Amino acid sequence: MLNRDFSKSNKEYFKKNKYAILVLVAFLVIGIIVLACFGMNSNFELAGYNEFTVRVGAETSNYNEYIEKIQSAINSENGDYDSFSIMGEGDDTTLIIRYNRDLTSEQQSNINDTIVEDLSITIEDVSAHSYVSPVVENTDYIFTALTIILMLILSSIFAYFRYNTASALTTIISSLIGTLIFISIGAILRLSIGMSYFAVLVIINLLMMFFAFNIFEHIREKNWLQTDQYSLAIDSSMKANRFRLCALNIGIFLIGLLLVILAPTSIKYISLNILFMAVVVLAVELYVVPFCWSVFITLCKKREVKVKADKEKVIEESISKKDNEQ
Amino acid sequence: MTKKRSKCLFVVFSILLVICLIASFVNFTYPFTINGNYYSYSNFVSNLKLGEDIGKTYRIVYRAELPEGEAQSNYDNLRTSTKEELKHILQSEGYRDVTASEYGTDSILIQVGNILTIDDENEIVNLIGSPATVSFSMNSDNSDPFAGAKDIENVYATSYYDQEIAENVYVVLIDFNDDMIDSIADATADGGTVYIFFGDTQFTQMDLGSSAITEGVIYMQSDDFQSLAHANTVANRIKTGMLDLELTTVESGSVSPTYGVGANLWIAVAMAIFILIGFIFLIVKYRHLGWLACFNLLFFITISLFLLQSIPLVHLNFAGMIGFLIAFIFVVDSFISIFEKAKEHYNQDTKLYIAMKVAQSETLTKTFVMNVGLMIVGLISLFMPSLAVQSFGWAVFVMSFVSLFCVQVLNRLFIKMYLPFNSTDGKKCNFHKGGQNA
Repeated sequence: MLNRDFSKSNKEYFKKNKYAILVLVAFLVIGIIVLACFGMNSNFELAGYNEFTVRVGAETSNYNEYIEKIQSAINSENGDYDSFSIMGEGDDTTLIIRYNRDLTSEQQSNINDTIVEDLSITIEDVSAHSYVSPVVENTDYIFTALTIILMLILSSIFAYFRYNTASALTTIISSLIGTLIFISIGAILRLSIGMSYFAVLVIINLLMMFFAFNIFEHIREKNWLQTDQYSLAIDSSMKANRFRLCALNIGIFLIGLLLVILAPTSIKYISLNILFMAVVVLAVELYVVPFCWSVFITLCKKREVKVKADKEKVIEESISKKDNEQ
Repeated sequence: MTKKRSKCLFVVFSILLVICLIASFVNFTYPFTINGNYYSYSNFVSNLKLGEDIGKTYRIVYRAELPEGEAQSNYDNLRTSTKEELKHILQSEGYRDVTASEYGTDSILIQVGNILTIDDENEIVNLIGSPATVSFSMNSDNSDPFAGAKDIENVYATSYYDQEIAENVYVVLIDFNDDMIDSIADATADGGTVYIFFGDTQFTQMDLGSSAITEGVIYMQSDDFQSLAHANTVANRIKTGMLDLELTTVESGSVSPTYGVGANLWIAVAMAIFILIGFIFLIVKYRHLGWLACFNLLFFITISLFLLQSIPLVHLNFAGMIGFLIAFIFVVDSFISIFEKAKEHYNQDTKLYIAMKVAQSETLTKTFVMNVGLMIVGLISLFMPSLAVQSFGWAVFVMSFVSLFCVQVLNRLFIKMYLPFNSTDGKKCNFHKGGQNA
């Protein structure tokens, strides 16, 4: 027997959480527009970068002071400092400096002059600037998408057999929405996207599926589907899982925050992705999953009832037909 | 299990854990000598093969020039193919974390991660560090060479057993293109000596006697070939010299991580804090059971580190580190599931030891499915070309096995060991009867 009031309760759910859902939708829409107009903000691994070396010799033990000066020299010429590495040792100690954005040869030579002046080194110690092509290939994009698709297919098959059709559909739709929101946030905030971003995309899907399964598992365990009280089912499951969901995602958020505040510049950008990953997973699990599940379970049950009614009708018709014939 | 036996087992596992922790995090010199030499132990963490983003990298910059006669318009294509070939040579020798980029207008940059020791650096230098343009001449001054690098089809190191000297002889087999067979046979028709040059320097010479090279194959021998590895080094030098462009090494050396100096330190600090938060959470929420879980988690971390550093193909970059944390989250979540279930049963007036047993069996499928799911995700990721995704895949694949072991085997054992000390008092685990649970 279908709970006829359930469609109504979906509306109520939407009313109750309208601001959260509207914020998610807004992110999604603005993100897609930004993505279409400006694309993603690729970092040096995806877009290539410029590099030059500065020979600093053995005397420098505190590189940070040097790097600050080099960074300000690059930024003053409209460059976008990215990171540095140290090569060699002793008198041959050399800093490899990476920055994004192409600069004219005049700007490059201004940077070199400023560095020579600020660090009190000779012009021979600073190399010419070279462009380094991206290390990521097109296949990386394709295969990352394939990984996520494969994960979605496998997880929805699992959800279909262990839970029900609504759970399988919710897994797919909520993961897709979450991924899109995450990409949108990256596009809106112009977050730096690098090789690790591919892994973060896989991870965010994994986490969303993991938490969604926890929610479905609780409904299954408590046999809520047999009671036909779906609104109560999802509410009770959310209540049971909310603490764990919040605790784990806040933990991930704090780690991201710690790295954003304290880690070197290049890690900061990736850490921002981790930070937003936690926010998106939490938002999707708290708002999108319950909403999608409510909608899909209503649709599935409606369809189930309709199919059942149709069958009954056919049987009744055949019986009455037989009666008439007799 | 009796109390006495439990105590013994706790002591044994504690000692084992201390050994595991020392093996994972402490470097030391052995307090004894072997043949008069002191040897040092390197812990699991130092042996982790880190990717180029957070670990030490070896980098080589080549100037890549067009060979004589090639049109300038082909340069970009040839540079791309040369770059890919260099990457392929390194990957075929087992280096997974390799990136190849075009550098400036006339160079190629190769960066190899997973560098642990100076031996790794030397091996890379041997592999691709000094490309040699090989040429073959019947004259000792390299005039009028009859074949060169571009005529070679394949080159590799091999060995055969020489019965006369009763020893293995190591050679580099150079297989020429089919269309060169006749011209090489003509050039060597009268026999004599073949001089082999690397650039302008004579590397070795071979006495043919009066016979000619008729099959288009030269077995290059040298006194330098003391082992197959030596011969392989020369084969690789020739291979890099066979590339479409002529390469000259401009700069080479090991560099700190591409994500900047200190990147790995900060990631380690963040991970340690995250793990600590997990420990504190478990202890505060489940008290005695929380301590047991932490005890178990320390085994989980050390076993995972051992496996991650010992499996040759595993390399960890930043994404791999996130994979480590994700696997940690999964295992913590498995403990929470078990304890919450036990709490639920205890709440319904079940005895603590029964509640624990029932909770273990009721959560078996769930934890099993979660870990197997994680394993499958890891496995899929391993086949992806992106190094970051692969690294993540390795971390979660390996750690989900360990997670299964810790949750299903160690946890059962530890709870069995704990129950003789407290089989009734749920308060010690923050459990309360009759709906008083927090």
